[in-house]
Amino acid sequence: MDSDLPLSTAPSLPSVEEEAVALGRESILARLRERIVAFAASRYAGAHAEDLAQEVLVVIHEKYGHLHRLEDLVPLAFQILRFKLAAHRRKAYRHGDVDAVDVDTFPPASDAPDPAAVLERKELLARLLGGIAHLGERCRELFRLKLQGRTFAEIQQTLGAATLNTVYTWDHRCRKQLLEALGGSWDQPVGRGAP
Amino acid sequence: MNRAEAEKLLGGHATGTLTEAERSLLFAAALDHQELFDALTDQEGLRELLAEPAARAQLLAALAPAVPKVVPFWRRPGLLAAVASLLVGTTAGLVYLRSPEAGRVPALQEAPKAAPKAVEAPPAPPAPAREKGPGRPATRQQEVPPPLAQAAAPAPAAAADLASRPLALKSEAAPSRLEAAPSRMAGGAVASAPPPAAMKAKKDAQEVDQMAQQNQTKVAPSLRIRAFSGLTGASDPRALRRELEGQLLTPALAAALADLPAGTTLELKVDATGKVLTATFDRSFPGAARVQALLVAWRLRTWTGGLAGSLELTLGWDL
Repeated sequence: MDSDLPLSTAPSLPSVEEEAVALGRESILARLRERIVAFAASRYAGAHAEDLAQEVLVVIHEKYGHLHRLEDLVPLAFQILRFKLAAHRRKAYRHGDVDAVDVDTFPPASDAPDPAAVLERKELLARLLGGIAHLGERCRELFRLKLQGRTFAEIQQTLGAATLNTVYTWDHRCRKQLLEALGGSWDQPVGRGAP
Repeated sequence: MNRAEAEKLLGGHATGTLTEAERSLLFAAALDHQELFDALTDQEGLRELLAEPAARAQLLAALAPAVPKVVPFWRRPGLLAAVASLLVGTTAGLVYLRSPEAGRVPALQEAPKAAPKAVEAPPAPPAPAREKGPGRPATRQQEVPPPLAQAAAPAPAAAADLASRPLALKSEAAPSRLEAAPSRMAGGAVASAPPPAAMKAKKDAQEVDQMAQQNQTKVAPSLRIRAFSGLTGASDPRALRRELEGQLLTPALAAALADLPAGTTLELKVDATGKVLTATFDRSFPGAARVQALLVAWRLRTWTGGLAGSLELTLGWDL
C-alpha cells in the first residue's frame, strides 16, 4: 500500500442496509426475469421471449434504478412488458417479419397518447360495458363499490359479509364471470378486425 | 399466502382496491407462481383502463341502480288508442242522444194520440181567446186549463201555442186558421217547418261517423319488416326484430316514415353496446333525413355480446 495516498480518497464501503437493498432488488429482478420469459414465450413472442425479458430489465435498470421495493418493481414490470409485447405484435403484423428488432422505447418519447392504445382502451371499455350488463346484482354492486374506491374491508361492512375472505371469494367469482362474458380474455384477439 | 388465496386478490388489483399489504402479498405470490404472474400481466390493460377517471365514471354510470322508467302516456300507443276510441264513442253517443231525431220519435207517437182528442175536445179555451182578442196574452194564460184534470185540454192548448208561433209572424192571420191548426197537426204535417237545430245535429253526427271511418282508414296500414338480415353477433335475431318493429311504430318515427316506399331497404350499423351509428336507406323519400336523425339516437336493448354489427331491413306496409 502506497503511504502517499491520502486516506480521504479511499472509496467508502456500502452499508449493510444498502447491501440488503441491492440484494433484494437483484433477487426480485432475477425472479421477474424468469416470469417474464415464461409469460412472453407462452403468449406471442415465441423465440423472442428472452430478448423481450432483457429489454424489460434494461428499461428497469436504466430508467428506474432508484426503485427497490417489490411493490414498485413488479407492477412496473407489468406495464413495461405489456408495452413491449404490444409493440412487438404491431411490428410483426405490419412487416410480416418476426425477426424485426423492436426499437420502441418505454415510456414513449411523446406525451401524446398512442392512438393504438387509445383505440384499444375504447374497445375494452365498450366490451366492459357490455359484459357488466350480464353480471348478477351482487357482482354489479361489488364492482360499483370497488370503482368508488372502497377497500375490501369497507365493502365487507357495506355488503354485510361475515368475513373478509367472503368478499375475496365473491370478487374472485365475479371476476371470472366478467371474464367469461368478455369471451375469456381482457384483450381483443388480434386479427379479428373491428369488434 | 398460497396461490389460491392470492388469486382472490386479482380483481382488487385491477380496480386499485388493494391495500399496501394486500399488494405486497399478491406480488410476492406472483413472483413464485407463473399462473398468477400471467393473470396479472393479462389484466394490465384492464387496470390501466380502470385507472382513468373518465372510464371509471362511465362504468359507474352504467352500474348505477336502475330507476324505474316511467313511460309518459303519449308514448303508449295502446293507451292512446283506447282513450281515443272511448272519446269518439262517447261523443257519438252524446250527439245521438241530444239530436232531435232521438227525441222526435216519442213526440211523433204522442202527436197522433193528442190530435184526435184535440178534435173531440170542445173548443172552450180557443173560444174565450177569440172573444177577447189575440193581442191580450194575459187572458190566454188565465184560460189555460189545469193539465192534470183534463188530459185532452193541454193538447189543444199546446197545439194552439204551436199553431200560434208560426202565425205570429203574420199579424193578419184569420181566426179560422186557429181552428184549423190542430187538424193540420193531426195530418202529420209536423215536418212542414223542421227546426234548423235538428238538421245541424244530424249533420254533425254524420261528420263524426265520417271522421271515425277516415281514422280507421288511416290507422290500418302499419309498417312491417319484410326481410331481416345482418351481423348480430350473440344477439337473438327474433328479439332484435321484435324490438325494431316496436321502435318503427313509435308515433314520431311512424309519422316520419309515412311516405316510405314499400320495399325500401334500411341498413343500420351498430356498435358493441347496441347504439346505432349510421342509418342508410337505399332510396330517398320525403322525411328520410328526419328518420335517419331519429334512428341514430337508438340504443337497441336486445343487442348483446359486446360486438358491433350491422342490420339490413326490408320495410313494407301491411294493409
